[in-house]
Amino acid sequence: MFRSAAIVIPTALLALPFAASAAASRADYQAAYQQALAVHKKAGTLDNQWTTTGKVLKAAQAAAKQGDYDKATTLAGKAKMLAQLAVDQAQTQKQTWKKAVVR
Amino acid sequence: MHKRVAMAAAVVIGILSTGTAADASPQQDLQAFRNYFKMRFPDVAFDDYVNGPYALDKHLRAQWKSIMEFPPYAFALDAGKKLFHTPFKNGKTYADCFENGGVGVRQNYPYFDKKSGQVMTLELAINECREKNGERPLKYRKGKMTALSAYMSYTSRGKRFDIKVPDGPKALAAYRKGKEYFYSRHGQLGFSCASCHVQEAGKKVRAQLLAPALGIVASFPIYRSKWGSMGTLDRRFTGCNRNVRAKPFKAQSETYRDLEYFLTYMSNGLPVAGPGSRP
Repeated sequence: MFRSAAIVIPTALLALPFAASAAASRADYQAAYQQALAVHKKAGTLDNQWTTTGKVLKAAQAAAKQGDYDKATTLAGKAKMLAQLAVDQAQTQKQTWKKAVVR
Repeated sequence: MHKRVAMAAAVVIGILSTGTAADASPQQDLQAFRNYFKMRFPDVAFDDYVNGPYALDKHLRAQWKSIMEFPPYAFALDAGKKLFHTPFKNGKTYADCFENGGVGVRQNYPYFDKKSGQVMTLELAINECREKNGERPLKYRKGKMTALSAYMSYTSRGKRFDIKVPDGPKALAAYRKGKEYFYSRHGQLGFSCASCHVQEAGKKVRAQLLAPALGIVASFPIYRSKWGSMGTLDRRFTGCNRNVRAKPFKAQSETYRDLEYFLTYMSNGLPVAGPGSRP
């Protein structure tokens, strides 16, 4: 009993700093959100924002409002990925649309 | 040796033809568009393309003919006629703003306005007329705007679309922007307008039969059963964008007006059939 406690307690104490660093903070969320928003705006300048990105950004904001920064940061990351795909699509289509023209 | 030369020539011709299709003149595009649909649907008469999905499916057509015994756009038409002839506060009417008193002019819209350097749609012209006469502009997607547009289209029925791309870089640029948007894939689902209305025209997306792009604008504004009300092209473009998860543009944005310009040019020679009714 004492022996196992002697192992478990120091292990748990060692794990604490890692557990604390794994949980996202408000600052983490804000940074992730701003990055996602910047890419989403870039998609807008290319006339190709996706509605999905906007919805995920709103969901991220809602999670942050509830104080769930883990979820909010994950959603902001997802929004950034979607926005980047929209940017890539717009840039690719600048050339590939020509192949679809009826001739 | 000869085989290699022939293959190289084929590659060069292929490259040249790709360039030609993207950079083709509006007239060349129009001819290619008509030929494409003629080959795709050899049994459909040219004028019948204004009827969209009803030109392709006899069962849908039969239902539509029954519906048209009491056209669902009739109320909008009556309201539009009344609005059109009701004087503004300054005593003037819409007739004062348009050529031929606004009667039988739909086939000339949209046109490229050299003065403003932009595409002028019928709906934009209606609101310009209102503002010039001290009235507030109407919303573009539904409501009174569709009623006015329906009435003006009705007075133009049978007149053939005659959209022009005047000489000059600006008009051609607007036409080409519309063309590029039409063929470019958008949204998370990665569809272009052409995906549904050129490549997959005549096929179904769930229960909806996809109308051919040729003549697709000729019946607007439309009463759409799905909406349960009338809508303009702006409303339809917005819906198409949302369907493919692309953020829609503002009504009468440059993108939508350029798209309308291209699409209506592609309908040149077809009769005005608006207002229409669609599933």
